[in-house]
Amino acid sequence: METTTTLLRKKGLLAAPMDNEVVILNMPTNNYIALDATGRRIWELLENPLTIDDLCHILSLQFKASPAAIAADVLPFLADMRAEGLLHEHPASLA
Amino acid sequence: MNIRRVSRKLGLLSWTQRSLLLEAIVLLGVVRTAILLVPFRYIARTVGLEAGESSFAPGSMQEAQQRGWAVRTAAAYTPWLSTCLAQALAVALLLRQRRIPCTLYLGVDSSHRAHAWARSGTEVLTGANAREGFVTVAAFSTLRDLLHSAR
Repeated sequence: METTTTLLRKKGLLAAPMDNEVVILNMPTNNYIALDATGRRIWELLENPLTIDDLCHILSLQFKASPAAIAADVLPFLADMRAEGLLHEHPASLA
Repeated sequence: MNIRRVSRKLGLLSWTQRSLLLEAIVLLGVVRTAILLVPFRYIARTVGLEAGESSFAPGSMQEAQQRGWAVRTAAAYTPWLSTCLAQALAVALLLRQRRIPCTLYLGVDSSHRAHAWARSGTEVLTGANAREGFVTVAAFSTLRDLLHSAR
């Protein structure tokens, strides 16, 4: 994935907030995915299409860390979420 | 539970109870096999489960409670493990035969343990005792559009 890739979370997934987490039921893989507070924030932000650059920028403001530091943690997370089928690329970046 | 004690206990049941118990055992076996072989979303489709909750109106509660009893009791006697999900699916199927709506809930607790329970009308019929601390993540229902049962 490039940092200009636009991502979007999969629509229609059943999820429940729990304490600081969110638990998502991923039916195609028969898995529950639990995201901690940070993962949940990213999940919420990706309700609408966002480029990875923009996502890291928003998070760096919220968590007061450099975008590079954010990206180092967030990119593997996004890759995992994508592999699980919870995120996909939005057509905006495929044009 | 040895055979003599089981058959003595069975002797104390009414005909209805015995036949429901037998039906429940068979369904639990079928459902267990399905769970092992088939992804949940195909089972859900076959059972007629749709996303959303069913009516909370307390119609047909006696029939619903009888079937809940049958599944819970049968589950205690099956030589295989009848999981919370199997019990919930079995009771949903038994209720569907009588056109009684049922909601199957899937949830997790703070330790990320998964649980399933089934509710019809005002009562949780399976999985009730272990339900504390679990948060509903998804709800699926049979006969979701039925506002109340005929009886």
